[in-house]
Amino acid sequence: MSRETKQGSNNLSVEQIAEAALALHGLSLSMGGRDGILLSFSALADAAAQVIEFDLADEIEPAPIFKA
Amino acid sequence: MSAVLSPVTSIVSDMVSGRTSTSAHITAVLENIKAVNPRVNAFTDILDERALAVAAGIDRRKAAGQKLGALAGVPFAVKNMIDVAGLRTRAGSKINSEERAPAKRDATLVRRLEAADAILVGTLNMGEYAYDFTGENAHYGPSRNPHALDHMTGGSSGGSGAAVAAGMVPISLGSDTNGSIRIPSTFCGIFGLKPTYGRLSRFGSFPFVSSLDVLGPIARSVDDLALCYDVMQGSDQEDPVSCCRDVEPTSRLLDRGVEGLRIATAVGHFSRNSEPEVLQAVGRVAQSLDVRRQIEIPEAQRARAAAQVISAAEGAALHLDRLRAQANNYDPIVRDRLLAGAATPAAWVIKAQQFRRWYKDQVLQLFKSVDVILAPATPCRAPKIGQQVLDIEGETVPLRPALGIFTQPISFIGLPVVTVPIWIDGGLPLGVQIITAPWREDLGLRVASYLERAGTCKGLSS
Repeated sequence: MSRETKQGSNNLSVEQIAEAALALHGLSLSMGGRDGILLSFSALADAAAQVIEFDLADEIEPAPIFKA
Repeated sequence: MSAVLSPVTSIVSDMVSGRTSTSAHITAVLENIKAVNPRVNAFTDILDERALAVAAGIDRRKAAGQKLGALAGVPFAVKNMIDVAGLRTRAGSKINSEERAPAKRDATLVRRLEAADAILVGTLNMGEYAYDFTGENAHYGPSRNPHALDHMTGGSSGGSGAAVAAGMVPISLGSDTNGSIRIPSTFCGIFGLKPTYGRLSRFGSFPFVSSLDVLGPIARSVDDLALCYDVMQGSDQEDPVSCCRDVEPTSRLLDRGVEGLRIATAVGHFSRNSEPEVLQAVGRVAQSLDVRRQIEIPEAQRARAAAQVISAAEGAALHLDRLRAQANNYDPIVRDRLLAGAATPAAWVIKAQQFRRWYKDQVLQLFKSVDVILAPATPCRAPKIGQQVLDIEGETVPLRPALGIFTQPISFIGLPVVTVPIWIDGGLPLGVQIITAPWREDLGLRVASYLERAGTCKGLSS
């Protein structure tokens, strides 16, 4: 299961990326349903790609605590 | 109409006049809940002792000639992620129900409702940790749609929708992060209010995505919705995002009609991605309001994507310790989504938050030329319980995320929304979102009230 995103191609599979990131939290794919996690993570990657490909000015302040 | 199913104003009138004792009324309410709940699975805790004690107290105050509150004797129930003193706040989970210490006091909104003499009768089923749109729950079973028991209530405030739609309580509280009040209100054919982010206190509620979470009411009529909302307003120093606005009562504004309001129907993202009757419902509302103007909310699909990224990352961060210690005690679907969220790179989240700021500025610009925007609430009617996919416009898509397609771009920037139920073709109900600028819940409620009076939308006490 390899992946090429608009952020650039990479040689790591989604599975490797997710496993490495989870390990940083003391978690692993084996703690859940591997296919389910990877499906969700792939969907998140697709969602993130939609956001990242959008051209935003550097000056736009992120909204970590949103105020309406 | 039985006392249990009466509008809130009738219940209050009966209590204040002394036509019915509050104790007798609440006894009947509790009996009705016990009779109906096995079919719809809305309640997870029924609070007989507490409710009857509060009712007896109201009767004593009435007998002593004391004035009763604006919601005297009105029974209500809350989603079980809201603290009730003495109960473990389940948040739909097995983990919390076994390990969380019982709440030491009631959530702010429970206290405010009871200060108005409403009576808490129970807590309500929900999707585990609010991470669902279906109302299904692996531990406590699905809440069931009272209009068709084999269909979903929608979630995550599924019990809150079912309890009101089944006539067990006239009002309930739910929470909405990405659509969790609006979707069950739609599927269950009732009214829901997702207030502006920060409007109502969340103190004493178990979070899901703090930068998106709000609490709000669900009711059988707009009058009931507004009455409940009004008594819950007001800032709360115990909720760090609570606004510092004065109470802005809405009930007395409901009969002002819609003349002079600038209303438009959302197109683009909101006129695609749904079953045809969904757009018929929006068209019916637009026709009733004589709305011809259309408006496009820019980049709504991208806003939904950004909301998904933020929800996944924030939600997962909240659960890291629990995931490490007892991943197997989660609903497997929720667990896998949380684990995926835990792997989310920080840059994705920051970019999503940056986009959020940009998107907010764009959408707020729209409100310089319109007061109200109409949009569908869900892409379909309530699916069957257990359904996994949805066919929309010739494409088969996973059901769960698809249910939030129209709600997520709105809550993403904290806008207030009233959802109104629309019944067409004799099928299950549909819903329309009435979206307004921040802090203008009054306008949404006014439009909803107009539609209810015109017969365009029908709650269950219309």
